[in-house]
Amino acid sequence: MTESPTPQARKPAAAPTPAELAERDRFAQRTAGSPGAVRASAQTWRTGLTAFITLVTTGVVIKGRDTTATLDTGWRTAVTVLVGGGLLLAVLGLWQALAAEAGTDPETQTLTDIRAVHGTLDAYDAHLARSAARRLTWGRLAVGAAVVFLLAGIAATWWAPGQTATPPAYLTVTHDGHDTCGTLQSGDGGQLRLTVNGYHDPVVIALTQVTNLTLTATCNNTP
Amino acid sequence: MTTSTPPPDGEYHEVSDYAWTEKAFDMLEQGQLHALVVSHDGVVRSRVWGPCPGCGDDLDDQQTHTAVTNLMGDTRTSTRGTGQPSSDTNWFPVDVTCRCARTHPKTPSGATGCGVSFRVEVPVTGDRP
Repeated sequence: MTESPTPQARKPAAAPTPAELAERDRFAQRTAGSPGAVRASAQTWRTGLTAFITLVTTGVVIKGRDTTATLDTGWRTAVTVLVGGGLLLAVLGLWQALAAEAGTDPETQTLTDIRAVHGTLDAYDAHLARSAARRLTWGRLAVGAAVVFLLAGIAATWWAPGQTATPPAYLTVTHDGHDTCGTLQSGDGGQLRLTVNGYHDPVVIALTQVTNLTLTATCNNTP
Repeated sequence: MTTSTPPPDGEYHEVSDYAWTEKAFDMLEQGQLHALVVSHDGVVRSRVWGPCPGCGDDLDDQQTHTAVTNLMGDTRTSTRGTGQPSSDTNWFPVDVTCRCARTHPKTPSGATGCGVSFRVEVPVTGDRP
């Protein structure tokens, strides 16, 4: 390795003590162990995240349709965005943890290449460990955000008002060989009174003429 | 064992008193000993090479001064230093122990070099740690 020495140096104020030398050696061990430590930590995070995503997928995605089916469109959209965003962030976090553990960009390098860029193999390992640690940090942040999104999504399903019920509101009356469909106003005195679309006054039908009554959600009759 | 007495000629003896640091500094000034501290992408490494102040044999000490720490909390990289004031952080101390290739008499099992340790301080080149 060809390196230019630094032209200036400063006289240190003190010599290294035995304790400092021992600390230097311990730090060297820590430097050498950095890639393994990051990998082990990433492995733990990956395992935890996998379990977390499995739990959430089972609980939210499978059960989600039943939960959101009765929500208004606005609330359903909000829940979809929150839960979907949370799952996306959780997957991103898992990906980052996996990348920190196993790497994502394999390449071949010569020792000369490594020395040219990083100086020594130890420095290169420290660089890799630092990159992996960064990925792990981003992964943890993504998972933290995912938890917030998912909890918000779950809370939204708890607090969202239910969709307004739309029961069959019209009555189809079969009488005298044809159907009359409208909203029932009253049924007394031997007569049914229906408000029918297109008629100003209620349509009055004698009960003795009725052959069938049916509740319907809509009316198809024309005035 | 570390003492403040100079090592007998040729024998392995662990010493780190200030006289060796001063001698190393003189050798740096005279261009006999060379030192370099480089920071690249947040990783600090050093290289000190030339004749050992203790035994005169060739030494080539290369160290990496950055490690990933605190994995249980906020993951960060730490660079070993001596806690000097921030206005002075451009100077980086490197503690060197002679690990020359020659086997000195009375060298303990597993040890190399003559046993002399010293400190050099040089400015960091490259991007800052």
